[in-house]
Amino acid sequence: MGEHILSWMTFFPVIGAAVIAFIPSERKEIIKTVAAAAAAIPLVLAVQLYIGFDRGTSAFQFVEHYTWIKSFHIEYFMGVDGLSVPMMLLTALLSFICIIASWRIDKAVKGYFALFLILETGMFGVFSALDFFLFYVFWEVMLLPMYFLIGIWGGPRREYAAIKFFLYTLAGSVLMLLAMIAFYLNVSDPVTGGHTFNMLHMFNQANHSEWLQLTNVRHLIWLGLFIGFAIKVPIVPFHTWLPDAHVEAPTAVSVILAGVLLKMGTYGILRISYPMLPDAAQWFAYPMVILGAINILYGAFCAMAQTDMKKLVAYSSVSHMGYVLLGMGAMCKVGVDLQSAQAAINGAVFQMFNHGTITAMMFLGVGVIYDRAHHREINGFGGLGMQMPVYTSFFSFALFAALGLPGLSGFISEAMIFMGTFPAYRTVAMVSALGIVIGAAYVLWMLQRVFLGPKNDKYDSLPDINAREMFTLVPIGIIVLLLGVYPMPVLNLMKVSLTNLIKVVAG
Amino acid sequence: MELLNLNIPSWSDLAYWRPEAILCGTFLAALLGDLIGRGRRPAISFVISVFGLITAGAYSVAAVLHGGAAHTIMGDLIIVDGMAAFFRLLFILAGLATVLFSWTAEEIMGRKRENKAEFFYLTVLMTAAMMVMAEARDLLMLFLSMEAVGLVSYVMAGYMRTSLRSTEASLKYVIFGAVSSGIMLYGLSLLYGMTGAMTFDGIRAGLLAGEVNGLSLLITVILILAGMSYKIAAVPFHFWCPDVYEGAPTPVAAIFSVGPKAAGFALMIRFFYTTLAAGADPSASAPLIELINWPLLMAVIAAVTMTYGNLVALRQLNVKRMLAYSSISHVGYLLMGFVLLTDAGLAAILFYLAVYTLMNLGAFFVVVALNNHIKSEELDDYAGIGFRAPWLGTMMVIFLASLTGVPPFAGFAGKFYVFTAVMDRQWFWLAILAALNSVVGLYYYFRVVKAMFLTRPAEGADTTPLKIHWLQYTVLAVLAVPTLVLGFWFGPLKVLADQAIGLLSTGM
Amino acid sequence: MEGFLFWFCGILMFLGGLMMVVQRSAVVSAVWLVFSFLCTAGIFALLSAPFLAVMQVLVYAGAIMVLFLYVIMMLHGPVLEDELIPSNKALWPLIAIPPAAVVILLVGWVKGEGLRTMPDSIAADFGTAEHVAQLLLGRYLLAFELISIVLLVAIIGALAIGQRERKLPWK
Repeated sequence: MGEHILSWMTFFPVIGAAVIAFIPSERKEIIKTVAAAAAAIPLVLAVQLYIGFDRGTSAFQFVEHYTWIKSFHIEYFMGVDGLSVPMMLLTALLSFICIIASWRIDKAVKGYFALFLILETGMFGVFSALDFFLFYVFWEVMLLPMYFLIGIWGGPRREYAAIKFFLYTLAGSVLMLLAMIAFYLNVSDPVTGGHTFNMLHMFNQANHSEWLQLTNVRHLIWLGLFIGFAIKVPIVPFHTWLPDAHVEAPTAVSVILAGVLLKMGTYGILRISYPMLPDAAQWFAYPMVILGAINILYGAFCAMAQTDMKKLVAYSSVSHMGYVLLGMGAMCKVGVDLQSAQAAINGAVFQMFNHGTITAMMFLGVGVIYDRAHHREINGFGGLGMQMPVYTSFFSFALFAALGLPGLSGFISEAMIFMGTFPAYRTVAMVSALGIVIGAAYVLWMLQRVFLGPKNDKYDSLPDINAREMFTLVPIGIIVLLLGVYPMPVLNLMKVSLTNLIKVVAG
Repeated sequence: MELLNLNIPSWSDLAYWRPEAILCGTFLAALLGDLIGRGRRPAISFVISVFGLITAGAYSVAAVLHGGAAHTIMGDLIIVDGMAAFFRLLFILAGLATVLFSWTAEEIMGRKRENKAEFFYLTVLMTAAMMVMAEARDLLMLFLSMEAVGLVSYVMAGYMRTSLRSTEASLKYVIFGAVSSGIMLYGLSLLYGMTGAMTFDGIRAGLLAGEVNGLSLLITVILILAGMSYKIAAVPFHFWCPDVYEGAPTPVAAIFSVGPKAAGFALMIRFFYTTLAAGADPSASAPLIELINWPLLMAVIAAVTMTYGNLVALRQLNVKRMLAYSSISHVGYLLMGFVLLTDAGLAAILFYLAVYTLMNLGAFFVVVALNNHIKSEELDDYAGIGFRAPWLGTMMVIFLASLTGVPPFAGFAGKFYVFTAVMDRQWFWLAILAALNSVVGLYYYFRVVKAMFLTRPAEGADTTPLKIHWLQYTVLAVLAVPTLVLGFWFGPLKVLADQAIGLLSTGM
Repeated sequence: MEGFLFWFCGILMFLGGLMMVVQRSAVVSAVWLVFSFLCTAGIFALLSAPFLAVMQVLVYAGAIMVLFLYVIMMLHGPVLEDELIPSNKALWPLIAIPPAAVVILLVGWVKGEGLRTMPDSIAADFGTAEHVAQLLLGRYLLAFELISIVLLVAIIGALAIGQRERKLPWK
């Protein structure tokens, strides 16, 4: 497995899904066990990836490169660098935890776990593909399982939420498709001279055709790609699918949606748009920072107004992804010292990772209470701290991480982003910093309404968190805590690659 | 008379024409078999038809494997080349799948029906006539083969004798069909008047040699396009399509939606490519295409067709009608390949047609299979049916997702190829419009998926698992597996399509 | 003179066709069709194809139409009701296309860029029975056979449509 570690990580889940398809649907426990095993092996491989990854180079590692469809110059080209490894780790971890968290699923178990595993394959594929076509296929492979996961196992308005999610993301991805074809037709393979989907060739500006060198063309393609990715992030005003999808999706799917799928938008911008169109990235840096600020403030204000716990967490995601955008935009500004740019982009990618873990905890926490009380109204609870002390401490931990309490990982990434953004865009950074204050406000307000205050008698009999739920929350909690104290294990992974990215875009 | 000294048909020509000859024989044998069985033994015709289609298919495959150059046979009326071979396989696949599937279709084999065998031998004949459409290289054969397919279609559309809806659909089909044939015939006669030639090559030579008035040629082309648009159901000649699909039995609608359409495209490719674009000297083709502003004409037709089909499909609550409008929008995507009459564009059409045949037949067949049980094609009656027949539902998802154009299904590969061909020549607005259209398509295709899997059936509704005939599962699997595999392994099909078109330009 | 005859026959043929379509009574329609066929025969004669002209009169105007009339009379000639003609609004643009094309083409023709004309001299055996037979059973043999299949299908279709239990709008 050592040589093809990325392929194994990517395709093991789908093999698991195929096995599940042939297990009789009454054997629910067997199905769940197979699913857990199929998700556990990529997790083990991810650890191997983490250990074996060479932190000293920005080159792609664990590369697998084969011809796939020769007549279209499509290759099977996988590889990871410092940008993708943290995402691979995050995906492996959250997928496994989500399978465990889905143990109580009772309806159409077979379909649920098979679809979940296909989804996992798509996520790994996106983070490791180095061929644009391959990337696109993996990107789209996730849509169908996601549609069904929301649509069949979701809440009361699941039909609406599912198709809305599907329509929005497909609209974004067809724009990406057109941009991809434009690249394909206008980038030549330096060896053969033919068209190519190889991303590394697309990164090299010398391979671009004359047409592709035109400024207007580059800006248009950039916008097409950006909208495609922005819908996934989601960047205001393309965010309206997100609250619906999150609220209706079952807990584990929300976790994956917030924890991994949103990151694919920003990952796509960093992996594809930045190196392929660095000049357009510079051109768009300021709008991006502004959009980031809007995301932060808009998401925070919306979260403030929510009475549904899950919707609150969903809007907090919008807000937190705004920080990522802020850092990404600040990185592109020319003439800022390298250290600030490094802080900005390292912070942004680290924030992607941290948001994945922290939001996962929050959604899992909301899921725990929803399983017991069958509603998520913030105002419907009160005093749960007395009834469920262990649960309360876990959930509070997640909430504090979300508001950026020092000592937890979210603080570090947000601090880095602001450190990097201040020299570049002082005003925007100062305005955005307000988001932290509002963030603290909505988090604490929710904490107060749900866990403190007088106890609601209705919930006298609620049992506290059980061992399986603990098992899903504890590992993430440990990671959040560790990285809050000592973030280097993740920062070291990405530093060299991201410094190289700064050189490409702003240097 | 030099006319008489030309290639006169001989028996040796049949060596290149075995599949067609076999199918004609099969048709007659099945017809006789039906007569011998006094119309009460459809199995005779069924077995003969299946056997004949398989034999013809084997010969077609053998012809593809042997490869070889193009052969002009039968008094220069017919050309057998790579493209003809490609379409032969396509038509036999569609015909065989339809015949096999219909054996268990309640709408065809239901107790009330008489003359069940009619469907089988007419399908065989339609397959043969469609092949001739793909092989014609002479105006006379062009028109006759189109009429042959048309006449068979008219009879098949009115198959449900006791249904007023079916009769009306058939009547509509006949009348509109006759009118559009007349219009096309008028255009063909004008073309003959301009060039004095009946063969496609001769027409091209005449157009290049003589002083051609651009306006006259444009009008002629539009008149001919009118007849062909009717066959492929492109806007504004689409209006028969939803009524006929809804009125005809679903298996008939299934083969209508792929067979005659693909044959119409084959005919259009050969006719317009030979007369306007390629020939011995490709560089001479530009003036003719520019003279009538062909790219803009086709781009507008394609854009209007795909958008119209999609927007109207959004409103349909009957699955068959929805599929009818969706097939109109797919014609729009296919026409995009015509915009520049380039090899890549035409190969993209072939590729897309192959993929479209698989997925559209599949979707229609699922409707047939469900109709056997629930006797309805209304969306509301599909509620929760995905859980009553999980494998059938899964396959429907595959077909519909493929029709939408979502990877990793074959429909995506087809769209990708068409988009690439169009964008290669900088027709960006068309590509963007088509891309947005496929997003619209998602909504109505997935309304079916939603009904099957997401909507919970009403209280007290039947939730027992459905028993699907093994033959139906087999045919569906034969369609679904390639729909899935071609999504990420479409290299071989692309090579096949490219070769078929490549031979078209060199074989003349 | 030839030009005059051509236009004479052509216009009458067109009018005959038009009258056939708009008539409600099937018998009258058929008679107009016969009239149109006769004019077609005239045009064949003008084109130095006497054999075709005679055949047109004998087979179409004569044999086939007589049979037609006989069948119509036997069935007591159903008169078409309005609602039977399927949404004729959709049909009008279609019907309008050829006349519009004629007008536009005429404009082009007046400008001097018309269609090709008949050659001045033609072979002696042009249009004779022998010549037609050689083409029909020689080079165009396949087309000839294809027509026979088309006719066979037409018969099957006629049988299918004519079957008694079919629900027809006028029954």
